[in-house]
Amino acid sequence: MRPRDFVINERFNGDEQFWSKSDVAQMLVKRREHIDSRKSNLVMGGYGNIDLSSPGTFFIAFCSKQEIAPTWSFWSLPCLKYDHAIVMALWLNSTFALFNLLKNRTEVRGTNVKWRKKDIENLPVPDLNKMSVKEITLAKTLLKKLNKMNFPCLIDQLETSYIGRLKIDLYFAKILKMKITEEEIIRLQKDLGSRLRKMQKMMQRD
Amino acid sequence: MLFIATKKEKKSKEKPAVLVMLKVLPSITNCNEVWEDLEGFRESQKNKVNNYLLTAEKINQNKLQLNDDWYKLLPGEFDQEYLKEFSKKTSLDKVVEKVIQGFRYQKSSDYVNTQDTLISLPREKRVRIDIQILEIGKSKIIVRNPNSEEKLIIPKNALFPAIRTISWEKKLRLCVHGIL
Repeated sequence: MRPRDFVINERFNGDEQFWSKSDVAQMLVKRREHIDSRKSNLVMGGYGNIDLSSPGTFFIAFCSKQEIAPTWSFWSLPCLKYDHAIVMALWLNSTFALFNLLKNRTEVRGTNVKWRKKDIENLPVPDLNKMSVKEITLAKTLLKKLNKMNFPCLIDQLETSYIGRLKIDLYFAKILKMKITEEEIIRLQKDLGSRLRKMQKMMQRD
Repeated sequence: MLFIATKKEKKSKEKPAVLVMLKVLPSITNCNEVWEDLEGFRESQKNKVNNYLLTAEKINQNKLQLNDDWYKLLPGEFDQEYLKEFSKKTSLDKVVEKVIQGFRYQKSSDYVNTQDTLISLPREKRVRIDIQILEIGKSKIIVRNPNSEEKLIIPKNALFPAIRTISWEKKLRLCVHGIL
């Protein structure tokens, strides 16, 4: 995978007319410092508004083997290891985490939501220190498989219990020993999908 | 969401609380109808109602005292006990190094403004792009100079991978083998 956005953080040939500031060298030093403080192997939308029912919303969190600089549409959540970022990206996109995120959202309008720092910090997540090497390896294998799949948009994933989403939820249900069956997970997904659809309809009636 | 409690009176403990999810935005045209439905339900012997305006449920007031989380008591909500009890649980701030907003990308920013910071590939659908990438080569990227008609060639070593928006990001894993 290749990113679709890049920050320019050095001067280059023929850039004389490009920059908007006069002291380019000093500006770039500050830019690199700012980017360095934000770069991360795990990012999550919701610092700025996101629309959970948009046809362009597929995932809310992403991991990156090479650190990536998110704009302030995102929360930057750097993990100690890339393996940890994988597990967290899977978890933050799981239906279980989405339920909690929806519950603790700052509603902007209907399915347009964002999350405050406190809500993000307190979000229940798996304790990586208690996960075995085998469980983390399973997460890596799962991510590889998921990246080859063509996920529909988030709301369709939930309404149709898309197989990729089901795999994420079943993985966590198993390793976290949750008392929930596959049928109940499907019901949970459909319930969340239907709730988002209702919120979307209310928003359209405004 | 609407919550109707009963004033503290001698007999109020015996009166149930009513939890209501409105399905419509209350407006001048429908507020009378919503009100009549709510009052009708409150006075009736029924424990549940579900119509096109609202869904409502009466619950024992003791339940409110026994639960900190009233969200799960709302009509149609799941009791997410399995989420509370899952093993190996902690909070997000314990597993990440920090929780911080992304870089302050805006027009008036001194260091990361919208005029000369981000270059972007076009998306499937309309997503705001300030400097569009025209071509990606092995060691360079060609962009349209926003200040003139000419093209700019930016070498790989002047770039850092970034993400502007979640819109139309269709893969969970973003950047694996370097930037180009």
